[in-house]
Amino acid sequence: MGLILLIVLVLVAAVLVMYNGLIGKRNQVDQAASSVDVMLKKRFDLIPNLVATVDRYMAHERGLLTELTELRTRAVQGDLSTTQRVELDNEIRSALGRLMVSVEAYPDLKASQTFVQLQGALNEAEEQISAARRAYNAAVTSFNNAIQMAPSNILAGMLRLTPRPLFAATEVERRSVDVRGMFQGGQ
Amino acid sequence: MSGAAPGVTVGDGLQQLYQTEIQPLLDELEATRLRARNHSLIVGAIVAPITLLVIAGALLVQIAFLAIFALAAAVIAWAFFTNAARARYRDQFKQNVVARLVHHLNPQLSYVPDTGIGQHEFSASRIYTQGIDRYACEDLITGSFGATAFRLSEVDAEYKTTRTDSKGNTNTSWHTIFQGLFFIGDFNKRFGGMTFVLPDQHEGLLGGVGRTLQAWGGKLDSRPGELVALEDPEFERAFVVYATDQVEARYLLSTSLMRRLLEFRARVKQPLALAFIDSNLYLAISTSKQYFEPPSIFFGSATMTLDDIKAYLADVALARDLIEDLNLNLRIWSKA
Repeated sequence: MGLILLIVLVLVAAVLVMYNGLIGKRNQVDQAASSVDVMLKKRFDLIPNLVATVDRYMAHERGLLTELTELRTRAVQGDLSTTQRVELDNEIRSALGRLMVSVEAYPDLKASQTFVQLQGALNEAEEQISAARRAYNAAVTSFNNAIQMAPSNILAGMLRLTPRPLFAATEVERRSVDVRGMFQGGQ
Repeated sequence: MSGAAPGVTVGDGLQQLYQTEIQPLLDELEATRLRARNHSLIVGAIVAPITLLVIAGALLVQIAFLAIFALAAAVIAWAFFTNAARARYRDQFKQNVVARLVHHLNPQLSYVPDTGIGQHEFSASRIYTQGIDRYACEDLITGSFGATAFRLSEVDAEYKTTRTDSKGNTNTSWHTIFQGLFFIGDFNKRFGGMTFVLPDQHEGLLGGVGRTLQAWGGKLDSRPGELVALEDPEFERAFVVYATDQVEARYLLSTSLMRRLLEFRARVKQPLALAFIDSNLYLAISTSKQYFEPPSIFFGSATMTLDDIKAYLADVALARDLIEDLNLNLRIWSKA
């Protein structure tokens, strides 16, 4: 009798530990996703400043600047999922890349203190977004492992936890210009 | 190029410097070494016979304690009477030769032989959490290469354990916490949390089980932060990372910095431990090698060849190599 009770207690304890582990991992994924959002927003918030700074120098790139502003407006709307926001960010990234190429034609702009600072902030945002995405992927991998590996997969099945997708480099991203590389070359 | 030092490119000027400036310094140094050696031998020649007589007498009257005491007293007496001569030789080497090499590497650098990175700063890195009972530091090099200000010194930190046996004798033994070169540099990115990159001790053997142990281990010692699992498998085999912020850890340890750290580790061939705190990079290179020391007064010769001097210069250039290898001068972020 005592033995059966012990086995039941151990089983209950194991299920509890597993349950908490799964929920903890799921929350880590959500937290990581929100930190991606935070870092994306950092980049979006730099755009109005950038456009204002660049606007005075760049007479011929109005189209590009308008495009950036529009993309930014869409990106900061409240009801977007992280994936949608990331897709918009990819377009913004590519537009920024094109902008940085055209900056080469404006030496005064390139030398201006405000622009140099903005470049620094943009590089930082880029690096932080990439870090947040890597953190998200790490959290998702850990979560997916937990819900697909025995024995926690049984409990995960009952809780209807499904694997989350990883961030992969998108087509736009693979084609887009390496902003950082350009800054280094430009200095 | 020295075997122990990372692959340093030695400037063209070294050969000329060696012929015009270093060689005369070495000749003087050799004279000092011979004086120190002869002095030590003479003191030994006086102390040894007296000691032998006392020991012989002690053994005759069968007082073993007296014999041991005589031997210890002789060693202390010899060290006492030769210390000044040996210190003079060592100081002359550091003040003249090492200081000249540091200046050759970069005239802006400063070198102070008898001081180093203090215990407070060493502890502030939190790389080693064991309490320190004995601390020594020397050979401080400070200055900057490019945009990166740094300090580098030798550090020797130890703790002691005391055991009392059944007879009531206490036995104190000293254990090394860290011995080697300690580097503090201005990191090129701004950050607010703490990230630690420590040599891996478990995961290589045990894989996933090791990772679990690491996660617990990180919670057990007083270092803040949680385990960070990074995506580079080679990096994960070599290091274990703890950080207060998962995203910030990856911001600091970009994929390129991870690669660079692995390459630097392969070049120095010594265990590395890093901490990122308060905009600083702390890096500890564990090694039993004594850096910036002259050849032995008995078995070495101070008339060193160009290759010997190159090896010393390579050691002196370690901070520069570290800054270049880890690309700390890349200042494209908002931090100036």
